Amino acid sequence: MKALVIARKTLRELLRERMTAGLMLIFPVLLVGFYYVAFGQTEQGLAKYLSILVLNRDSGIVTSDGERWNIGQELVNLMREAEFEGDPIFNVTEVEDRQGAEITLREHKASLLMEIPSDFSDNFVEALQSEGIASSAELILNGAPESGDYTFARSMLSGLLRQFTFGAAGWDESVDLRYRFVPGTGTMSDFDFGVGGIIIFGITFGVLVTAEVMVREDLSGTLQRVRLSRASAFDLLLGVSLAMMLIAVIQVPITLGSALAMGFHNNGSLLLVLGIGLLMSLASIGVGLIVACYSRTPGDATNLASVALVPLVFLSEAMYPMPDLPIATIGNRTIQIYDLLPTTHAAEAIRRVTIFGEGLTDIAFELVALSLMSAVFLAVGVALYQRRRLRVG
Amino acid sequence: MGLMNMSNVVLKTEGLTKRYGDLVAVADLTLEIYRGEVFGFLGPNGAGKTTSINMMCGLLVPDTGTVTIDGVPIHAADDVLRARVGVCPQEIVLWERLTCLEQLQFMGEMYSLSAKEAHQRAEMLLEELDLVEKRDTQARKLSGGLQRRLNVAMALVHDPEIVILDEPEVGLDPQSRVKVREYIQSLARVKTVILTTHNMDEADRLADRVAIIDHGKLLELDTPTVLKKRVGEGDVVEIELETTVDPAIAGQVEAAVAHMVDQVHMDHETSTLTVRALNAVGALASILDALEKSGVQAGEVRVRENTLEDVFIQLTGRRLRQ
Repeated sequence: MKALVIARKTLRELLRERMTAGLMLIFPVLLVGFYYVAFGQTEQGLAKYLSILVLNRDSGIVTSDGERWNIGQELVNLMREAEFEGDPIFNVTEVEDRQGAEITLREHKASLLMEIPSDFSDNFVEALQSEGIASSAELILNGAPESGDYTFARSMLSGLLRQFTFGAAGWDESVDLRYRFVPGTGTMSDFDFGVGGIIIFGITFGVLVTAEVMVREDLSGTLQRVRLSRASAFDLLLGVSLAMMLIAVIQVPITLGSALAMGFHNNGSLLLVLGIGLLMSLASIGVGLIVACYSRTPGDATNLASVALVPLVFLSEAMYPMPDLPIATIGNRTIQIYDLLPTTHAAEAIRRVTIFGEGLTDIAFELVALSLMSAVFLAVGVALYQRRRLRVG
Repeated sequence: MGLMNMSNVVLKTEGLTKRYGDLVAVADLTLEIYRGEVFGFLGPNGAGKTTSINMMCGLLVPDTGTVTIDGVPIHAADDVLRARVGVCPQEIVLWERLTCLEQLQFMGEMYSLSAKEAHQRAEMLLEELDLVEKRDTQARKLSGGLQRRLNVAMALVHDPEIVILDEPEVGLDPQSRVKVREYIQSLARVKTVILTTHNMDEADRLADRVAIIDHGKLLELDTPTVLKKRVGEGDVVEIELETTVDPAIAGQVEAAVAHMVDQVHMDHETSTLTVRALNAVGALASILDALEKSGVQAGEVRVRENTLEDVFIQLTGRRLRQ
């Protein structure tokens, strides 16, 4: 099969090009190292890192038994109890003085201040009785939006809130579903959180490599040579894609292996991680082909690929949690603007597999979203490349 | 020539035209190329040679006109038919990080040869083009001459019936030039070779027929021998006479020779008779005979034959390298 011969040839070239091979295989490992140095080596749990202040003003409700039921307090207790391997997830401090709490926040001595309004229990029960339609219970999360701690804590908290509301009421209005917690992030550090994103970051470099490979084939005339042969455009594009996918297959275990060596806690299937990586590599190839269509030289390809890489990596949730930017709701899911990027779903899926040990069915939504987006990017890339570079003039 | 009969036409272009905006790169090009001939394609830079070749091998679609291989239009042809053509482009087109053997084997497999067949063809071509010592050297580490030889080999790896060589001698060192020229000669009669070149001597020596194009138009098409006899300022023959010739006899000699050639001039100071005519060389025996009949003894004879370059300059008004 000619595609396999093209894949072998492309791989040979890539592996002989030390800079490219290094970029693809070693850079993610270095990134893991940087992340480890920055966040991973202290072995400290999130509880120390995610310090949450709670101002509970909930007056509760009186039940039919005549007892007072403070749902806000139950939420606080759940936050305190959330743990993994015996370590708490949050360091919860209840405060009475809002002003004092704000000072603590400003001094970055806490990640977030959660205010539970006085009518929280009333609204919660009302929502419970009307299945979330009549009204919604509100929690106010205070923090510095530019602070990574705040964003991170809010993302972590949203999963717990969802668990709480689902468990208690089957109601999920205004609850961010992005980070769903299983009881079990006690020893999870920012390093653990970041590894999934780094794996995806590495694979996303395929954009740059694919673009460079295709531009070079065009510029050197070798693309014409292949076009003159009995190989079809399909063979060519499939061959290059296979080579890039194989690079991802090599890259993922290397990155993950280095992370494990530095203390990353993996709880899931490596095969599933590999599968997610392969799906993501298809999107990278697609974007790479699009970039190649608009690049005349390898330098153009590098520049344009960098422009594509920045939003793919840094505007997704691959490297760090993003603030809420909702654009729609599908079922009980809030769709954020960065959900339109495949990297968001790929990183989320890897994170949920490696950190929370989730399986294929648990990450079905992410896999479907990632597959669809990868298919779209690849289809657009292939169609554009065929039209702009492979069509007989 | 036995090659030249209608049934032997392997590649034919009819009314081939290609425009790029206002520029007519190729205009109404009609050619028949015979099986087993070496066909020279001459023209100055920008004459439309490469555009024509790209249309002949199916890389470019003509605006009007057709290219057929054995009667089948190239653009309707399947890949099997297209694979009967091998193209060596003017530029060196190699994968710089593949070795010579890997490049040839890869292209062989792209032309549907089995891995084993491709390997055998690759080894054979490396041998034939004196590249065996470099079989495991990456292309980027080869000299320009060796890269060009490999470039030629790449066009032949699938053993095509028609080989298009676009300026194969450009940038070659003398050693490589000899090697490539010998190799092209070895292909003659075995394959149909379409050769574009800047080197008139090369075209004259190698080509059975030569097409001269300029501004996209075919100006002349014939064998080099016929072209040299038909177009140009002609051969120049200088005959040194043994003795000083009496002016009256000189006048008789000039008159006797004049009807055989275009120009005749007797230089009395040097006693040299200079004649210029297309095929003056062919008329040399008659000229010498006329001198003898006039009682004039001929001494040293110097001949400068009409060359293909003369033909070219006559047709295009410029030298090929201009």
